[in-house]
Amino acid sequence: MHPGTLTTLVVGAAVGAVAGIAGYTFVYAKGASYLTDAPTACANCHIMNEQFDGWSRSSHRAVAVCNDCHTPPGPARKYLTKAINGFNHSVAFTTGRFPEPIQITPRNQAITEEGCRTCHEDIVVAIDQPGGGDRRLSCIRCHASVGHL
Amino acid sequence: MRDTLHRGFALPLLVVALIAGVAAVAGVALLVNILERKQEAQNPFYRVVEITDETVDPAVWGKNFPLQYDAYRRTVDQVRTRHGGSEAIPRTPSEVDPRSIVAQSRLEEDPRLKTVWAGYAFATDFREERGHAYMLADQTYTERQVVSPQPGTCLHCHASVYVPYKRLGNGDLIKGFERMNQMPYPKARELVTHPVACIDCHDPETMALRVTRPGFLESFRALKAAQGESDYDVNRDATHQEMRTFVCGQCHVEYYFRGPEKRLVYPWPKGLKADQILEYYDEAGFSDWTHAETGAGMLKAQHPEFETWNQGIHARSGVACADATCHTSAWAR
Repeated sequence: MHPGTLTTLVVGAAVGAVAGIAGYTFVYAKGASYLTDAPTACANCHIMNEQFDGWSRSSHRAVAVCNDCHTPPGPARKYLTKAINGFNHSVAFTTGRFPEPIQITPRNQAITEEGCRTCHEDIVVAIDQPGGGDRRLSCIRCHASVGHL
Repeated sequence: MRDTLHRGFALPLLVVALIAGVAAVAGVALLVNILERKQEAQNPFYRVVEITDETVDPAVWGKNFPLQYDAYRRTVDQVRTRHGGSEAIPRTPSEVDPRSIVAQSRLEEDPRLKTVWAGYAFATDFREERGHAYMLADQTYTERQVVSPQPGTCLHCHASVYVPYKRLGNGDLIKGFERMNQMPYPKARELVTHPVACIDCHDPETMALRVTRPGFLESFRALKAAQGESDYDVNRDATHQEMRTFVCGQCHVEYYFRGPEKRLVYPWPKGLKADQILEYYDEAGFSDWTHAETGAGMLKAQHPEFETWNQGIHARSGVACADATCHTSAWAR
């Protein structure tokens, strides 16, 4: 065989192998599920088991899924948040380097508070800004268990 | 000429092959990592130790559940806050009472209580309540035990009695309960080692919540029967959310010792409200003591938190003792 042909074949096989491994890993890790709103997608990682179990017993189990509270409305904002969180979660869960018990980040906490108001704005607008300033009450300070215990 | 042309392509192609090789290795490493995580999910917690239905010591449970055990240990805190708490009053330990720190005396804070409770042991010694960690020590060494010897029934709520009851009853929880009720307190005290512990509310296999106290089992069943629901078994029939209050309701209740057998009974068949409980006691002809100054039959409601909760907005809204962060720390999650 011509040396050039051999090289091309080796490279072709290597690239093909990479594509195959990447494809298999994507399917094995249920990569496509992250494009959906299914709560089971969030529970692909077993560190979320407690939250998933808590949600399935919570008062909001029939009216809200994970993304309803943990991603902002609007496709651009929603997928940006999914991308940021997805990347951070992947790194954390692969390396195992994160403090426990896990705690929500300020960015995600703000998104969650916004999620409450997306549905409940009408009923709380009168009490939401005590003192008339910009500061808003934290819903989950008192209503901590409505999402997941 | 053909050779030079091919030699020009060889190096970049080899570089690509190298990169592809590295990427393949990285891809497989990721795949294997994901596989390992999925395998970890099969065992939701690392079984450092085996926990059985005989494991009383919460420190052993704590080896499997360190976060929960840490939260459990926090009941030793004695700091007065606007939500409650107690002061840590130092005292000199003695032969009969080895405690070096106690909560402050309510009788000293409000001396009228001595008149209110004249003729009752509470007029001798009554202190601010403090955390679960102290429940057994405080019951053992309170002066009330000295002035008014108590039956072993008291340990039903102030110690981890689930395993001791089963042992005393040769496997029968209720028989053990009945036997301990009829022992004098100092004798019964020898059979217990811990204040309330994990095993008193949690199934050791599944960690599911369960009611272990005969007092609650029998009295709640009687309440349900009076409401028309016979054969109520709380461990079978209660919902998970109800259990998050019922496990606390095993002890945070009004009670009395019925009859010469000193059986622990919660006065609930007529209902959980004060008037209904009073009606029950009137019918039973029971009073806690006779007032030393007036001669009247008296009743004292001990820590009726379960009864008052049942009448309020939280019970109506389905909020349990353990919900939000009212009575459990966020850490316990």
